[in-house]
Parts: sequence; structure tokens; C-alpha cells
Amino acid sequence: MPSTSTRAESELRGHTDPQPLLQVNDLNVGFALPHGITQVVHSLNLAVPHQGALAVVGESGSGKSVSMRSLLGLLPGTAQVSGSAVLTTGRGQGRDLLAMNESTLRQVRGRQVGMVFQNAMEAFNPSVPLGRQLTQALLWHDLCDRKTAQQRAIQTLADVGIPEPERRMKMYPFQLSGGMRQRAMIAMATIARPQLIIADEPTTALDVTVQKQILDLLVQLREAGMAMIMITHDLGVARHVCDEAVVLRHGTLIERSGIMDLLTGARDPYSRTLVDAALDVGVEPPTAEASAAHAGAGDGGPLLRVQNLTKVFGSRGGHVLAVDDVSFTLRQGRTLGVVGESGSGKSTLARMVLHLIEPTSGTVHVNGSCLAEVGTRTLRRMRKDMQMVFQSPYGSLLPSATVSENIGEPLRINRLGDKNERRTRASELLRLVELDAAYLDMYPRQLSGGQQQRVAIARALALEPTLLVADEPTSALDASVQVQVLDLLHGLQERLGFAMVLITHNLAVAERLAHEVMVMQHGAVREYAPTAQLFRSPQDDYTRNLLAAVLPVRTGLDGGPDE
Amino acid sequence: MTTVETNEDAALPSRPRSEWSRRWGRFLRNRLAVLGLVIVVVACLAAVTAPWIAPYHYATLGPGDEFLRTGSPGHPMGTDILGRDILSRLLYSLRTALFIAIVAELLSLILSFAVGLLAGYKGGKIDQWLMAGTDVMFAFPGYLFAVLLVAVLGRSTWAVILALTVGSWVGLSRLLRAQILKMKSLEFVEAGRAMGATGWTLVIRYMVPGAMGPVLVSSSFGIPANMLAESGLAILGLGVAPPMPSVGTMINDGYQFVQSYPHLIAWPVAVFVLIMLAFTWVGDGVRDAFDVDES
Repeated sequence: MPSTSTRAESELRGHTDPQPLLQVNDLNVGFALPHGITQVVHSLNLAVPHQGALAVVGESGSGKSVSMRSLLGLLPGTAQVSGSAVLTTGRGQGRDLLAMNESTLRQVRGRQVGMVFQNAMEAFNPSVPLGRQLTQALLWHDLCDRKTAQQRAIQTLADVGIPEPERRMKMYPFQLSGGMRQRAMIAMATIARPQLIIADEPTTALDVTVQKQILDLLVQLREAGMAMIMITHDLGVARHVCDEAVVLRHGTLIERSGIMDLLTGARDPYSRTLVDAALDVGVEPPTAEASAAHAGAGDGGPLLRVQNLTKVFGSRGGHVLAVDDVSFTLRQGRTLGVVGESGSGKSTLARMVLHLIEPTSGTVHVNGSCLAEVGTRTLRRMRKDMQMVFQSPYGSLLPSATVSENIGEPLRINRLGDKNERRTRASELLRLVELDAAYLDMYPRQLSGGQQQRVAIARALALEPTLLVADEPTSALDASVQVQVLDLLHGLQERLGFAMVLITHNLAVAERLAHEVMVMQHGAVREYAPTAQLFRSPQDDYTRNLLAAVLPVRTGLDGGPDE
Repeated sequence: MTTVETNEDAALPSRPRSEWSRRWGRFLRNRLAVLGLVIVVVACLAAVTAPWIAPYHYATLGPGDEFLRTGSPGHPMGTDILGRDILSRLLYSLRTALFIAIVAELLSLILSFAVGLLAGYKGGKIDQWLMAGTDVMFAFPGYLFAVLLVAVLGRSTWAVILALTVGSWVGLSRLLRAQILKMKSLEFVEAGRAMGATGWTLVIRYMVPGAMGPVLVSSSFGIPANMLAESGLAILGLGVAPPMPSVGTMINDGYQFVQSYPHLIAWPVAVFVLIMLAFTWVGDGVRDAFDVDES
């Protein structure tokens, strides 16, 4: 055992710590499939020191979730796990989690290792009140009697920042908001005071402002001495909570280093790609600004004019004001970023702009014609000029049609060209979105998410629209692909000159592409300003809150630009 | 920056397969379903070619040959009370049963497609009225309705087909409506609308293919149900008119003698059960084939 190095240093390296809390050695996970075994995690080694926090970073399919779940035996029966994962709690001898049988493992789950999942709604039993679910964890482990358990549950709920914990104990999971549910799940994971928490993308499904609160709660738990493994695709989250990170790719460990070292000087090229691809607010070269002069040089007439647009959804429970009196204009070749959290009405707005949903009141003028007044036939003709890109790349393509047929679909619907001409056009468009012509005859499911989204963009551009509405075009994509798709959209706009309404929850995405940004909350516009101005000096409190909740990845680091 | 995508390129399969060919592949993986399909195909072939392959006509009487046992020369399955060849009668009743079951299923598919698509796609008042109509139909016990119809229209093949159709289209149209409602909210249907697709283009090209899975599964279970209902009506004396045979009539004729001559009932029942099982296995296979699409 090295006596020269300090404890902190040795912990950072993981290997040399005499007895880390968790030492994973040579972890292999495979799944038995009808035609053999698919190996998804390849001899993974990692260590979590006592009271340490390790971020397991990777893109979708990197095996980050599978590897961590395998430690607690949470994988389906087809999984084949080998290696060792020694958990050393207290002074006692370490015990190998992977060698335990189910009943011993049950003693460990919750009691020594707590687990926080991404989707709190699915992790709770919807038909049992919160209080019962919380106390169960204690009673199963025989840690205390019912009465103490009750008190401790209330205390834990209070600890995770849930107001009126006594009242919440009697509530069902669906009666809590998303953020509260996530807090409650953290309460459930921590109620038996485990020494280690494994959190699997705990904030991915949450809005940014709520995400910040939950992460701050996790930071508090860390300060109270709890060790943590944070599975995340978001380097900002990793930086906020953890002090070490391992990067996984295709089930293999790429790099292990301190989180700051990773962000400032990743050793591995792939890790560097990941870090470079992360979007920061306020640091990107303002591409939108640079091209503003060029794009704005065209005729200045407004292409899209939206006036006092309002949508009320009626339902049995009353009326919901989804979009409340929104007005804006958009000129040719310009991009408007519409930013808001879930429920802000931004998607409803996008659909009203294209007249996919009829507004309750207000008007949309495209090229001077009011969409509500032109009649079905003209509207159908006008649709050629206004196209949409959707959030889910796979969900928006016809699964039973090939790439070529999908791209040619708008032409087919509008009876333009014959089969051969459509195919020729499809291959041109495929080149435009920088995909190989070899994909023409593939089916959407055979493509990766990024490629699918490129196909969806190609399809939207097939009719050479003057207006493109993109609803969260990159939210379903991995970070490295997100940047590529955003750059593609930007480049296409420069070449083709269409105007774009970009709906996003991500401020950094809006900053990268939009000339103007509109911030929405509860259906209403909170702030509407040129991009640079909005980010530099936000006028509205809500905008400021949003900006404050953004987790910086590289901002504020040595060598990086300051905030 | 492009390293991520280039690597994925290499991993892509080179041979594109259509949805249907993949579904067929998944169907083939279910052994029982394949066996079922083979049995169904053989049964259908036997039914179609019954007039040529049956040793006798179904109504040919055999004076002096009454109650021959299974394995008798010239009558492999034996003969019945009137000396008619059981194998021949079974082949013909299979012909009747399959014809009735399949035609009734097709008719109820057509009817439920019309109603389900209209109700699901148009929504509003049309939906409410159509669904109120199906609710009324649901309230009638299907069998009772069938009995009534056959009693009014007289015993004929088409009366039975009509009776079965009336009994089965309601559930199927509800299923289709639900599927269409589900499809309506999917992104690629919205994408179709955004591209300018309207009306039936949208329904037929965007919604129906996705809605077909559960419908096909339901129909493949519907055929054996129809066969059972047809023979049930025949047992009650409400099936096709004699001397046209039906499994139900054969059972009805034979059950009085079942203790001395079990083969009168055993053969038709055994063959029938096997064929209905086969249809059910095929239905399971179809469900497997479509299941993966859903997830």
C-alpha cells in the first residue's frame, strides 16, 4: 500500500485506495439472444471511494445503465454477469455483490445501496400511498418498528425538501408534481441510510429549473457523507455533483479521471468529442449573429406573421389556456427560437403556426395569406411552403417505407413527379443532409437516431419550403449527434434561405441557431428579444431563472471563456 | 466530430428487409404457428377439393352398410346411420364450415373497417352515433341474434354467414376505432398532415398499416370462433339445411348412438378440434410477428 500518496490522491485514482466503498473488477455483462450472446459490457473496472461521487458518462447504448444495474442484480433473467463488485461498508470485510444470492442481495438493496431511477412515476407503485411505500423499505429490513418508521419517513421527506411531509405521506404518487416525485424517490432511496446511492439519469425527465433543485439536493446528500454513482449523459450534471468520472462507450471504459481533468483536458479522443459536443450557454461562437447580416439581406417583408394567437383546450376538468395571446413576426431566412419548459405551450404554438391545430383566436399569416381564411384547397397548396421536423426522428418517419420513399413522400402526397423522379430527388436530398446514397433503400429502423433525423430533415426540405418549424429537433439525440444536426440545420438555412421556428427547451440550442428568442411560460410570452441581447441582459425574472438553472460544462473552467 | 456516425455506418446491416418480411421471419420462429399454418393450409385444400377427393357424395346412401366401423373396406372412417361415408361427409362439412367462417370473417372485417375507420377518423357526432349503434348491438346476445336471423331467413349457408357476421363485427369495429384513435396522436401521422396529406390518404397510408396488427390477430382468432358458432347453430338445428352436412349436424345425428358407435362423433370432433387449434396457433404466431412492432 502506498504510504507516500495522500488519501485524496489515491481515491482519485480509485485503484490504489486500500478499501474503496465499491470496487468493481472485470465486470462483463451479456444478454442471451436466440442466436447467441451479445456482450454489452466488456471487463469494466472502477472504484467508488468512501463518500466519493463517480459519474458514469456515456451516450445511449454505452452500457452505463446496464453495468450499474447489474451490480444490484436488477437485470432480466437473460443477462449473464461475471466479474466482481466488492462492497466494503463500515470496518467489516468487503462482500462481493455479484456472488450474492437473491435473498442476501435484497438485504443490500435499499439498506446499503439505494437506487434512484429516471422515471419516478414508473418506479413508484401507483396504487399505494407514498407513506406506506417509504416505510416498507425500513420494515422489510427490520430496521425499526412501525411507529419509528413512520416518523423517519416523515423526517426523510422533510429532508429532501418536500413541504408538509405529514400530508404527503397519505398521497399517491400521481398526486405529486414531477419534481416532488423525484424528491420522494430520493427519499425512498435514502430512508434506510445507505452508504451508496446509484442514480440513473435522475433529472433527465425534468425541467431545467427543477433539475437544478434536485441536483442541489443530491449535492447536500453528498455533503452529509453519502457516496454516489451518477449515471448521466449530461456533463453539466456530472460536473455539478461528482468529482470523478468514467467515460463508457460500447460497453468499454474509455477514460477514468477527475471530472475537471476530463472537462479541461480529456486524454482520449472520444472523451474529447463528448466534451466538445456539450452545448454551453454563452460560450458558443454566435453562428446566428455572424450570419444575420447575410440572411437578413434579402427582402425584409415578413414571411410569417402571428397575431394574438390563443389556444384553449376544453376538457371535462375545465379549460386549459395552452397558448395565451402570442404575437411575433419572422422574416425570410431568419430563425426564431421558442424556449420554454414542459407545459409552456411551445409545441401547441408550433402546431398552430402550421395550422395542424386550429387556434381558438388570433391569426397566422404566411406570405400575407391568413391560414384560417384561405380554405382547404389553398391551405393544402400552402402546406408545400411550410414543413415540420419533429422531436422523435423514428416516430415521425413511416416505418414501413424505405428512406427513399419517406423522403419522396411529400412529393407523392402532392402528386409531383413519378417514381423515378422522386427517387432521384430523394438521393439529391440525401446528399444535402450529408448522408450516403447507400441509405436510400434502408428502412428507418436500420438507421441511428441522428441519421433518422437527417432523413426527416431531408423529407421536410423536399418541397423547398420557405418556412420550417422544428419541434425539439435534437432532444432525442445524443449530445455529439445533436451538434451535428444543429450545424446541418444552420448550414441548410444559409444555403436555402428558409425561415425557421425552432422549438426547444434547451437555451443553448436556441442560442446556437436563433436570431431572436422568445421565452414562454404557462402559454404566455415572458420575453421576446434578439438572441444576444436576451442572453446578455435578460429582462424578465423567469428568463433569469432559466439561465441560472443552466449547468455549465466548460464555462468558468481554466482556459474556458468566463460566464 | 463525425467519428461517431462513421462507426455506426460500419455496423449497419447491408440487406434491407421490409416490415412484412421481418414479420414473416418472426412468425416462422414460432414452431407451433408454422405447424398450425400447415394444418390450416391442408384443411383449406381438402375443403376446396372435397368434390374431387371425397370417395362418395355426402348424400350417397349405402343401404346395408349402416353403422360400419372405422377401418371398414371402402369407408376408412366408417359409415353413419344411413350408411353414408363419414370421411366424405366430414370433408364436405369442412368445406361448409371453412367457407362460412372465412366469408363471415371477411364480411365482418369489411363492415368493421367501414364503421371503425369512420368513427375513429371523423370523431365527433359521427363517432358518437356509430358507437351508440355498436353499443346497442353489444347489448344483444350474439347467439340469440343469430338464432333469430336464421329462424327468419330460413336455413341456408348465407343466412348462417349473415348471422355470424352480425355477431362478430361489433367488437372488431371497436378495436379498429381504438387503433385509429391511437394512431391519430402518433408523430408520423401528424407528419403526414404537415406534408399535406388529408382525408383517406392519411387514413389508408398512415393509419391503417399500423392498426392492422391487432386486427389481423383478432381475425385469426375470429375464424375458429365462427367455425364453432356454425357447428353450434347446426347442433340446435339452425345450421345449413340438410342433407348438406356440417359438423354440428353430424354430432346431432350421432349423439344418440354414441355409446355403441363412438366413431360417429369422434372423427368429426377430433378433426374439427385440430383445425380450430391450428387456427389458434396461427393467431398466436401472428401476434408474435406483430408484437415487436409495438414496443
